[in-house]
Amino acid sequence: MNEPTTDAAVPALLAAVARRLWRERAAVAARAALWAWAAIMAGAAAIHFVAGRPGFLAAAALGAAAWLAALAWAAMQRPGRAESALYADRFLGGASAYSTLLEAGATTAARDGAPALRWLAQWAAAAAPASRRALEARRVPSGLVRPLATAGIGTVVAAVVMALPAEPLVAMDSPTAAVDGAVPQAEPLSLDESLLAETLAAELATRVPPDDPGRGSMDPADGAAVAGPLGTMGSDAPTAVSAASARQAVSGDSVARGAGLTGAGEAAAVEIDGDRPGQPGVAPAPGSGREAGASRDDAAAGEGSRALQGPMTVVRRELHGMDEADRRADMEQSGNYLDDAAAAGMTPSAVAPVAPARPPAARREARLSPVEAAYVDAWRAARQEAP
Amino acid sequence: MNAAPAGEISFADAQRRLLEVRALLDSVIVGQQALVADLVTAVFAGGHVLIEGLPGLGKTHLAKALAAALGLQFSRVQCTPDLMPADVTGSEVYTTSPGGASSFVFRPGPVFAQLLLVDEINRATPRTQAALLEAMQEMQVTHAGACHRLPTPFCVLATQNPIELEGTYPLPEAQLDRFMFKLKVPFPARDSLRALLDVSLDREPADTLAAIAGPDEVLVIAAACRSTLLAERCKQAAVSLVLATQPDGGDAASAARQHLRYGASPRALQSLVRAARVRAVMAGRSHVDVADLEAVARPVLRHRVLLRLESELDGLDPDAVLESVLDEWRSRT
Repeated sequence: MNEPTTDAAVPALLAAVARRLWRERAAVAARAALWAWAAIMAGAAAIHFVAGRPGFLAAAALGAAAWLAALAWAAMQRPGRAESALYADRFLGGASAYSTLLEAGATTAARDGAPALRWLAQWAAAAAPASRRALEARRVPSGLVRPLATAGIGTVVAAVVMALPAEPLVAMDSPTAAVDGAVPQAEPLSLDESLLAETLAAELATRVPPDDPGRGSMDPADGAAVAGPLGTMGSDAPTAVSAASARQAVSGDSVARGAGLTGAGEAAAVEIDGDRPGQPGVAPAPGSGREAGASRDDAAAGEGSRALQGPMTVVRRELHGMDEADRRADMEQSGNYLDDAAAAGMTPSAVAPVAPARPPAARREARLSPVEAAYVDAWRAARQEAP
Repeated sequence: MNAAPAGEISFADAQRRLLEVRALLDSVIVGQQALVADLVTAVFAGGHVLIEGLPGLGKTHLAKALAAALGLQFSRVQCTPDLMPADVTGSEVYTTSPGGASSFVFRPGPVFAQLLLVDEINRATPRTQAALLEAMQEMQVTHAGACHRLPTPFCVLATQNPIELEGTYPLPEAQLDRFMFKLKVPFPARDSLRALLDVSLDREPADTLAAIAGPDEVLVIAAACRSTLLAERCKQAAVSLVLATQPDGGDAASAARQHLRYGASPRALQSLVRAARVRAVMAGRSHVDVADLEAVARPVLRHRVLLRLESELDGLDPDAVLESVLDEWRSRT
C-alpha cells in the first residue's frame, strides 16, 4: 500500500466525479429537449400545413419552454458526494472504499481513528489518482448527434412550411359539398305526376269515411296495410300522401295505392299543400292516433312518425345503377328489399336486377281491385261498429 | 474464536500472514489454490468447513497441512456407522486416585482440539452427527450436566464422499447450516498432477510442515478481520444476495424461483459477511467490497439452498443455479 499522495485526493476525485455526473445529466436533458424541439417543430409544421397556423415564433416559444424545463431538471439533479462515491466505487476501481470512507467519517479525521479507518483513508488516498485517471479515460458518448440533426431538420422543415402562404386545406371542397355532388338532386314532380297524385289521393279519400280524418291505419292482424289519406280527409280536404306511407303500404303482402308514386326505381315523397285551418301543409303521421294499432307498442311507435311534418322534397334514387351491396347499405331501402326477396323466394343475387323497394308503377288507371275495395269496406264497417 | 486477541496487528501484517499461510499450503496442496484460499478464509473467519470430493484428492492431507501450518492442535475422527457420540465428545471413566479415592472423571474426546477433522462424516449415524452440533455452534460440550469449553480457535473440517452413498446418512439441513463453507475438491489439472509427483511421491509433506503461526496469532488475525469496515452498500448487497435465493420472496432471482425449494438462512448472511471480511484483509483492504461478497458467495450458499425435485432430476447443480442468481444479483448491485 502506497502512502497517500495528498489528503485532498479523495475530495478532488469526488468533486470531479460529481462534475462528470452533472454533465452527463445535462446531456440527457439536452437530448430530451432536442427531441422535444424536433417533435414540436414537426407538429407545428403539420398543423400549419392543415390549418394555416401557428406561426414559427409560437412553435419556437414552445420549444424554448421545453428547453427551459429540461435545463431546470438538469440543474436540480446535481449529484451529492455519496452518489459520486458510489459511482467511483462501481466504475473507477474504488472497491467500495470511497463510500465506506464517507460513511465512516471525514477523510482527515479517519487518520486519528481506528486502525481500520486509518488504513482505509490511506487506501483511498492511494487509489484516488488511479480512479481519477480512470474517470478521464471513461468516455460516455453524449448521444447528441442524432437528436441535434433531427431538431435541425425539423426546424428547417417547419420554417419552410410556415413560410408558405396560408391556404389551409379546408379551402378545398368540403366533405358536405362532395357528398351533395354525389347524391342525386331532388327533382320536382312533373305536372302529370302531381295530377296523378291528386287523383289517387282523392280516390283514396272517397274510400275512407270522413269521421276518420287524417289517420292512416294498419291492421296488424294480417299484415295488410292501407295507406290512408294524410291530412284532413273529406271530399274537399286537401290530401297529402307521403312516400313513407306508400313504402309502408307495399311492404309484405300489403297493397298500396299511394299518390304521387313515381316510376320504377324511384322512391318519391310528395307534398301537397293542404289548407287545413291552422295546420297548413301538416298532416298527422300515418298510423298515429288511437287507431294506430291494437297494441300499446304500436301506438307508441306511431307517435314518433316523421311523415309529412312539413314540406318534403322528392329524392330520386337510381337503384338500377347500384350494386347489391349498395342497395343493402341504403338505409332508405333497408326495410323492404329483404322482404321482397324472401317473398319471391329468390336469392339476393337473383333480386339484383330489380330494385327490391320499388313501389308498383303508378298508373293513371290504377284503381282498387274488387278484393281491395271489399277489404276497405269491411274495415270501414268494423270501424263504425266499434264503440 | 471467542477469546480476545492477545494483541493488535496491523492490516498490513494480517494480510502478509494470511498470504504466507496460503503460500505454504499451496506448496503442499498442489493445484488447489482456490480451495486453499477458501479454507484459510473459513478458518480465520471462525467457521467450519465441509469438504466434498472423491477419494484420493488430498482432503485429509489438506486438513493436516493446515493444522501444521497454523500450529493448531489437530484431532481426527474417522466416522463409521458404529461410531457413538461419546466417541466424539468424550465420556466419563471410573478412576481411582493414588490415594485410593474413586470417582468418575471426564475424558475429553477428539472434539477437544483446535482443528478437528471429521472424516467421512456422512458415514456416522445421525445421533453421532448431532453430537457435533453443540460443539460446532456453541463451542462447548455438555456431558453429565457439566459444560466443557472447547479450545480456541476451534474449527471442524468434515469430509464426505459424493459417491458410494450406500450405508451413509446424509447430513440434515440443520447440521449443514452449521458449516460456513462447503468446498468441493476438483480434480487437479495435468500440470498439478505432474507437480504432485515432485512434492509428495516419497514423503508426506504435511508431516514435516513447520508452523508459521500459532493459535494466538490466528486469533489476532481473526480479530483484525472482524474489525474491517462494512459500508451500507455492502450490507445491502449481502442482504440482497440472501434474499435473491428465497424462491418465494419478492426479491428472488428468477433462477431461484424456478429451481430452488428453500433459500439461504440468516446464518448464511452472517457467514457471508464474516468470510468477506477475511477476503478483504487478504486483498489488503480494511473495508469490504461487493467483490469480496461475491468471492465467498458460492461456498457459503451452495449447501444452504435446496433444489426442487424437478430441477434435481434434470441434473441441475446448486452451483449452476447460484451462478444464475449471482448474475442477476450482480446486475442489481
